[in-house]
Amino acid sequence: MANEELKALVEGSVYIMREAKMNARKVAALWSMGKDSTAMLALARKAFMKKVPFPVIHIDNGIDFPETYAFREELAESWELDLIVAKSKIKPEISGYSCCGSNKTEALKEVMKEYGFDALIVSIRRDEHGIRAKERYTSPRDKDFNWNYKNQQAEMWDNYSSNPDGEGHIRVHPLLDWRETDIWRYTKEERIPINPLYLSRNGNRYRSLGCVHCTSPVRSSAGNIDEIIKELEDTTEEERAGRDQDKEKEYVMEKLRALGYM
Amino acid sequence: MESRIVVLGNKDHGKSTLIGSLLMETGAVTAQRVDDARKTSESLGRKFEPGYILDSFEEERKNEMTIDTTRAYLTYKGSRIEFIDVPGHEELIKNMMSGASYADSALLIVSAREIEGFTEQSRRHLFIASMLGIRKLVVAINKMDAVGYSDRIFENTKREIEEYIMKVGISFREIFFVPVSAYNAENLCRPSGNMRWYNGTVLVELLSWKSVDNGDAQKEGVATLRGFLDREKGIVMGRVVAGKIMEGEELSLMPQGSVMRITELFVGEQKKESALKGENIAFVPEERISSEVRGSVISSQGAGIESSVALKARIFIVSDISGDVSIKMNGIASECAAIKVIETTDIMTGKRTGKARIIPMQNTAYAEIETVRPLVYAQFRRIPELGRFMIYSNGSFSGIGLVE
Repeated sequence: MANEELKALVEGSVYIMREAKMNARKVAALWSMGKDSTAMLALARKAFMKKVPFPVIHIDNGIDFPETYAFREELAESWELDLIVAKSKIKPEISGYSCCGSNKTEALKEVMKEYGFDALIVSIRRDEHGIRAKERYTSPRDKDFNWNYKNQQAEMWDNYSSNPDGEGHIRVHPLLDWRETDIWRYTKEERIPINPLYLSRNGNRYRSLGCVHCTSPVRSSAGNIDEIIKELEDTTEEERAGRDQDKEKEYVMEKLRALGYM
Repeated sequence: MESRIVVLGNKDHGKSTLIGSLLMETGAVTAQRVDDARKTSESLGRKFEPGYILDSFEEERKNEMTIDTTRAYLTYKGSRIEFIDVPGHEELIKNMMSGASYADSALLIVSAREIEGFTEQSRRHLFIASMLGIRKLVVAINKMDAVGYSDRIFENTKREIEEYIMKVGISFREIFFVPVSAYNAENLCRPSGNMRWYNGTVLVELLSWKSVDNGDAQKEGVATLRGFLDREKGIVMGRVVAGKIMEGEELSLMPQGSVMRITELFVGEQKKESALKGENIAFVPEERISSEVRGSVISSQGAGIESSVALKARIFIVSDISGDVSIKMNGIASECAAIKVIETTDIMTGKRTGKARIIPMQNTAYAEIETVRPLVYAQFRRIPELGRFMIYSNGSFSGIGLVE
């Protein structure tokens, strides 16, 4: 991909985040320490003179990989992030769809309410999933986090929405136009730190990162970003193939997102 | 550069099917998604439907219609193509417009079947596409397999579309017609043996380049101001929407009507001497700006930026305008005092009516918009960001306007 195209994506994301900051009372961003939300923070640093001007929330169920926690601590310190760790409970009897649907979403609801955030930056991309391809750059959620996907509001050109009723919040999606390989190209170009789990170890690497229960690695020999990009150009697998399956199946993502999942 | 193509046409004429088929033909979609679409088709007791690759809402698949806009990507001979699929249903025109506003080209799909043909909804889509400034149009006459691959039917449909374009006075820079069968993937990526009479290029080839920019774009530097990045230090954020903005240059600030210079300029977080169209900037002005800056515009001398409480625009109405009317331009809402219709045009027949009081729904008018506070604007064809707006009445979206 030409540099010109990557540049256009960067400017688009910077613009969306600046607008979100101006339109909202109190913005926060979700940070999973994955490649997408970390790239989003790098873009926020570009947009706001090297300082991320809003709190970043980690919904922590306590079972992320040790490498992920170490990466969180490192980057939070070097980028001086205002990190909020929202603990979500793991109930042994609940897994997969219900786990992400109830536990994580519940924890998010609590933290949003506690701090009074009215805008939430979420680093989803259209190419990840058919349902995410239907999202707008800005999308209102009601007080129960419901997404009225059957009647989304008009969003044209660069006219973004703000929180309409003061009760719910607005989701902001600055990376909607990006593709998986774009994220890696930008990560390389800007030398953005990454979680080491993305790189091959003993013939495996993680392509998409969730918690230890629901994520499995893919066969890969890619030991650096160039090799990851090369591998992605040839793959016929879905990016989220390593995620616990019932979450990704037909309509499940639709239901999860309608309920407020990220 | 990547081409963004909005896929237009009537419901059931095969938009989602055609894109799904193209994605499969070019290998742009993973085996898993094809398999998912296959399983869904089976579980609904239907033959395989490539459209399910795009229509991913449960309601969309069960009811066999696209509800909301979606995107799909493919790479052909090194060019990136992005498809914006939109609903063809009349009631979902706001979703169609949301998708179309991001496109540079349009692919119109018209069924060759006599009972379907070039419908009112196809005409409406075409009119809106032209209004939004889309330069390149590719028309795929679909379902050729259902009409015996007849070249006569293809030619008749083509003529009907050309006549419509002439009659209502819309225009595109480039127009192409191609006969296809989306379901059988004929003339999508490979020429069809059933339509040897067609000597043109296959569809994907026609879609693979982006139409060049027209020559009348603004050359002088113009940037819209988004607000203060740091109010204490007086650092202002903006975005360059035309030409080039330079440090030290004498700039006018509108609607304040004052003159200013930039002493320190940043593109993103990097210090620069100048910034180009499309770049997000931050700057320190020579003299601190004390007024509110969000929605203001800075421009080089001779940029021809206007500021007033009245502007003339071509508008398109999707639902009644009444009650509290406002417009949203360049990300900022402005209250309207009045919308005065100068002339309406029937988008089906091209018939013009002067001094109409009411604009029929799903129709267009040339109108004067009066705002409560002064607005900074430019002609849409010169600076799109400052010449296009959404119209709201009582808080709901009811139409769009383009400054003429």
